[in-house]
Amino acid sequence: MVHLVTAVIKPFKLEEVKDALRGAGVLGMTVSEVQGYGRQGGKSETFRGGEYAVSFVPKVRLDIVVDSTDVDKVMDIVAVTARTGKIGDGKIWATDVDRVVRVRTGESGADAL
Amino acid sequence: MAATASDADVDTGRSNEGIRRVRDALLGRRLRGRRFCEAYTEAVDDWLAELLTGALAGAGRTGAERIALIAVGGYGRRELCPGSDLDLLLVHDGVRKIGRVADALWYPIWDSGINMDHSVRTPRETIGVVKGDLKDALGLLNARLVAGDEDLATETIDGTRRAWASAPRISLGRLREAISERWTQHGELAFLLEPDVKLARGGLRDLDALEAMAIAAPVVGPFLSDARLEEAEDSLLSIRVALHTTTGKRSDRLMLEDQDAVARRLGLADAEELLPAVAAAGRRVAWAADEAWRRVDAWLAGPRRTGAVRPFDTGVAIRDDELTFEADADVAMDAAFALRIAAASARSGIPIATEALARLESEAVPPEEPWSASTREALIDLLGYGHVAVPLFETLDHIGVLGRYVREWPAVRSKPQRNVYHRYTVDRHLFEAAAEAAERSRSVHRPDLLLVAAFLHDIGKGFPGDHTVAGERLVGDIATRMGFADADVAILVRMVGNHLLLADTAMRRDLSDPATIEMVAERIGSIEELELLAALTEADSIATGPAAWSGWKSTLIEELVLRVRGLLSGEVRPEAPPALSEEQRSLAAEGRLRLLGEGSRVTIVAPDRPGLLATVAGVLAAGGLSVHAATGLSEAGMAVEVFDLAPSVRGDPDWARLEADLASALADPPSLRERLDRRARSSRLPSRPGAARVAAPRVIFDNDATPRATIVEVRAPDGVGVLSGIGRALAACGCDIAVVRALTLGHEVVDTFYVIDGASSEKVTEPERLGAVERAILAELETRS
Repeated sequence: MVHLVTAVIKPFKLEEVKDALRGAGVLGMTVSEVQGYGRQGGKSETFRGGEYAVSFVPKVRLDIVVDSTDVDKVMDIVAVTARTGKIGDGKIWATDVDRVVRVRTGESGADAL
Repeated sequence: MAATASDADVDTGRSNEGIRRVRDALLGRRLRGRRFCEAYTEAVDDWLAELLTGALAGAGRTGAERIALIAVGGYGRRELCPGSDLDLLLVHDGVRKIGRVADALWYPIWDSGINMDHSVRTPRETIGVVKGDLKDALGLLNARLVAGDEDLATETIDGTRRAWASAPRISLGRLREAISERWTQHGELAFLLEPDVKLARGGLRDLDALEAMAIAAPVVGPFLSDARLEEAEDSLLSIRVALHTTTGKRSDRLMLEDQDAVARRLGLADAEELLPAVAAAGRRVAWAADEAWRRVDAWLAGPRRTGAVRPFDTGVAIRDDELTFEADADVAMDAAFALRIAAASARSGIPIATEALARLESEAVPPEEPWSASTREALIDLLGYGHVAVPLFETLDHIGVLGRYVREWPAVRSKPQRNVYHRYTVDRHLFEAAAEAAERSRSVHRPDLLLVAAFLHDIGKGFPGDHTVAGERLVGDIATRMGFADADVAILVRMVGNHLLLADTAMRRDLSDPATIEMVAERIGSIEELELLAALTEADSIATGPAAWSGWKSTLIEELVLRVRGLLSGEVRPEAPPALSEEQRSLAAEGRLRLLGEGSRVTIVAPDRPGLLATVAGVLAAGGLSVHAATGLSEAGMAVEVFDLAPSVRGDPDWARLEADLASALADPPSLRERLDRRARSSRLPSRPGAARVAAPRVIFDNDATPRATIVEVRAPDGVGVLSGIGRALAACGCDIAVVRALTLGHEVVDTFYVIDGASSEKVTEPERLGAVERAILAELETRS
């Protein structure tokens, strides 16, 4: 079986997460620039007198297709590396993937990873 | 087909594959570019002439009467490259059995393996084609007799050219539409990673288009006889020949994998040497195309070629819808001339005459160092016109004048930046960044520093080492030569050194970490510089290309700027109040009206009264003097106002007359107003599509910066009597002006007034009162635009 791990993290953590995943043998991922909000509902915070509200917060989204045996490991690595302990660190979730095909060769399933 | 071919086979003296061997032999002789094309064209001409003789004989005809073989398109121009098609037209005058002649001619060419585009037509049909397919029409404009009936060929060729030229509006309109479609589809030669040397903007097809334009619009003709344009054409032809030879194919796209081989074939080391040559040629051609279209537009728009000269700006006049120099203008005397005529063109949308460009090229001198204030302002003026100024900077660089102002410029000229982020070569990126900065000039307190920083921020890319480090050193030198004050030079150096700081930090650091914000605040130092840097970052990113800027990135950078601003706002540094000099104070002690003129500076001392500034500024404007900068102070009932005037070729103003004018205007203000309104009306030009866009005026109040007065900052388009109008509006609202600083930046004025209520001598704080002041100022400005 193959899983899709999706993570939404803070942009400045991208390099660190990428390096950690590469170190663990994850060779490919898709990265996109996204905006959104979670439990904090955008944010409104006071910073040295200047109050401001941002309805959508810039984040980076990672999509990583991995073999099912690696799902926990990959989620752990992302969770640990992307953590700052503050609000807005992001989310990680995994979903089942029915089929995967490598375009060039036509290989499918785990062979296509 | 083989049977037909052998039927038609004639004794050409060489087999039909022979022409390819001839071509390969020419390539073997390592002929390059145009020399190859001409030799190959000649060989093909000979071959086709023999084929035609044979074909006529085969059809039972003895001579070539009423039949002509004509070369069209690139072959017509003798620019056959190794992979080029042969574009051929067989013209006949209703000859029967012309089909047999044609077959006997075409089959051997097909058999040779060379691609061919062919047609058989009567002269009348041919001339009709001009009104049909544009590509065919353009090909016919390059038509040339290869073999056969000379009279018939002349009749056909002249007829097509006449048909094209007879309806210039239609011909040029169709041509322009096709060109802009091609440009959109193929991008710009100079700026692409894998450009098409024929079809991209600035490629060979644009040179053909210029020839076609010149046939329909005689005004383009003189513009084409430019040695540098021919050099660009030779360069592109050489690259195309080398590309076809390298790939063995007809594609004109310079793919990454072929670039090194093409470079070596041209005797260059590698792609790094090839690409600047491609970019230089492409920009030369693209610039020529733009200039030619500008001339065509002016030519189509107006029949008014009367030769009448109308003065326009200092030393600059309009003649026949083009900008030129006034007869007595000494181009070599005033280093700002080139910048000033370019700014005049940006402001008005009127193109600069070719002969004026030629004069600038041969006569314009580098400015003395440090630059005079008027030269520096002329540069800022031009930069301030934004996107309209970009083609004018290109023009100044193409005639070699820009490098006389900034001698480091050649190091970044046409320097490619081959990465996915950058859309432009370094020099063009700098023009574009400055244009983007101009759009943001109202968001900073020192638009001049923003413009110059944007214009120079990547100059270090032409030099070894890290480009920000090299840039800091270079900008320190350049800004000092430009005559900026030491403190301003220091700001420019920091801006260039920090120009990646905000973008890099926003993307790679934790913005909620106070240490990040402290680091950035420490490097930037003040809110003014933060504003400048934020505007520079945005301008730079947008000018880089779509990949370098997005709402996503801008949100991150905005957040960083907001946080840094929060930290820095605790550290507002009070501004030192301006004061009179000793000399001014002793003049003021005389207690009466005095006017002292010296060069381009005039000092006026007068008993202070409401509306004094409006009157003084109005007298200067009515006298045809343009105020570049002004400062005014009031102390002990006497006002001292100093005006820096725009330079004039007509020598110093008549100071005594001005003083008399001023005295009478102070006695009778309404008469002055009438004179001013007249002058404003007569100096107005009809608006043109290419002229700089004028933004609406803006009035900003600041009651926090100083305890002494309310600061009123007015940003407005420049015009006759603007300063005077604002002064009048303030006086009408009962405001006394304690200090004034007026600056002209491009087509914008930035006028700052420190005002107090005339009755109470307090700041003006009530919102209704401020609203009234704003409305009064805007209403005054409205009458000037």
